[in-house]
Amino acid sequence: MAEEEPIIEDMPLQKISVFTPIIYVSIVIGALILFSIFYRRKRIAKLQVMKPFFPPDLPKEIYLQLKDQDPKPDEKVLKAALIRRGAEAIRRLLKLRENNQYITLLYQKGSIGDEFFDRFKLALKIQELEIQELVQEAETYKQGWAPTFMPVCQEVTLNEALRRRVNAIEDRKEQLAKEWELYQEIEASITN
Amino acid sequence: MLPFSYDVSSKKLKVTGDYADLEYDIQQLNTLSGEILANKADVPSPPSKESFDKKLSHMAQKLHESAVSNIKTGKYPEAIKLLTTGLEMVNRRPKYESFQMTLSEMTIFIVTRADAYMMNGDFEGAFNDADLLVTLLPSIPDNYIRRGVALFKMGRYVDAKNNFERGLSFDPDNAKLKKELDFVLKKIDEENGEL
Repeated sequence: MAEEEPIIEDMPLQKISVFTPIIYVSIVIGALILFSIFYRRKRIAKLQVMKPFFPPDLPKEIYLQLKDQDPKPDEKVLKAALIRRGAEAIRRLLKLRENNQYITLLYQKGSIGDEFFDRFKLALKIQELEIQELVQEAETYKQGWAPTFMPVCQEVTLNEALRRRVNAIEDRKEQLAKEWELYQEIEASITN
Repeated sequence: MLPFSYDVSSKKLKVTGDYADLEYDIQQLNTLSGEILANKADVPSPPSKESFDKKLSHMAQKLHESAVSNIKTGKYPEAIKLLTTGLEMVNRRPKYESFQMTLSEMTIFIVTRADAYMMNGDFEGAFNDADLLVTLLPSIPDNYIRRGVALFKMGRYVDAKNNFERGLSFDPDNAKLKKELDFVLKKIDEENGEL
């Protein structure tokens, strides 16, 4: 067996500048930063053109407009506007949660497309952020209001829905009466 | 900017321009702020048994009792008027109060009014109230009896049959529903000339 030769041979050393690795690293990091900037811009642009899941949030807009108004409205009116904004947020969240499992299932089965699912997820995210914002906003009116604020909003949501249904029956009764008359006329014309 | 203005003295909002659905939201806000302004506390208390207005409950109960005694003596139109007033009274409860308790208080009035309409021979009214009851409390078989009977009286046998069947799906052994269903099935057969 021959004696092992040293593997390392004398390689000619090339002198490089100290800046070379620094330049290398900065180019890599710079490329990554550029990529992330453009990628994010593209994503935000995509989110911006996405069709919203719900119509404009009127109670929220009313509240914000009232808050910035001059002269400032009564604080209790502002609180009422905030509660209505919370009620609307809860209504939307309830609607989304109700449909959550079905939409997920339909998406898994391939019955609904990516775009619709993305819109749904975005709507959920927006509502969660809205609730967080509302809780913070409630704290600015009264320290410690936040824990009781949300239950009150929920009650307002449900009570308003109940009132809408109860108030609707008066108009419906007139409509029914008209239909009933028509029905009787037809009945009479058949028998005669 | 939404087209509405705020009146400092009355503390109410008013719609000043054309905007779809704004009217409803402003009106709801005015009611709620009115309720909160009338309340002494700086923020509405959380919904509970204690925060539910008992004076109103007592008045509503009194109204209901007198309506029931009117029904017993056959004064149906008077009873209906009283029940409508009572329902309106409960309807005007502050919106931040307990929903469950408001609902149960309201349904007592609607149930009695549906029955009063029925006994008065106003089947559209009875149907209308029963229909609302089915929306509010869909799992109670009695409400399907009410709606079915009202439809039956209006001559809509097939719709009545559907209602009795749906009621039976919640309570398969309900004797009254079974009886009504048999009756309406016979009526349908008669109408088709099968009997």
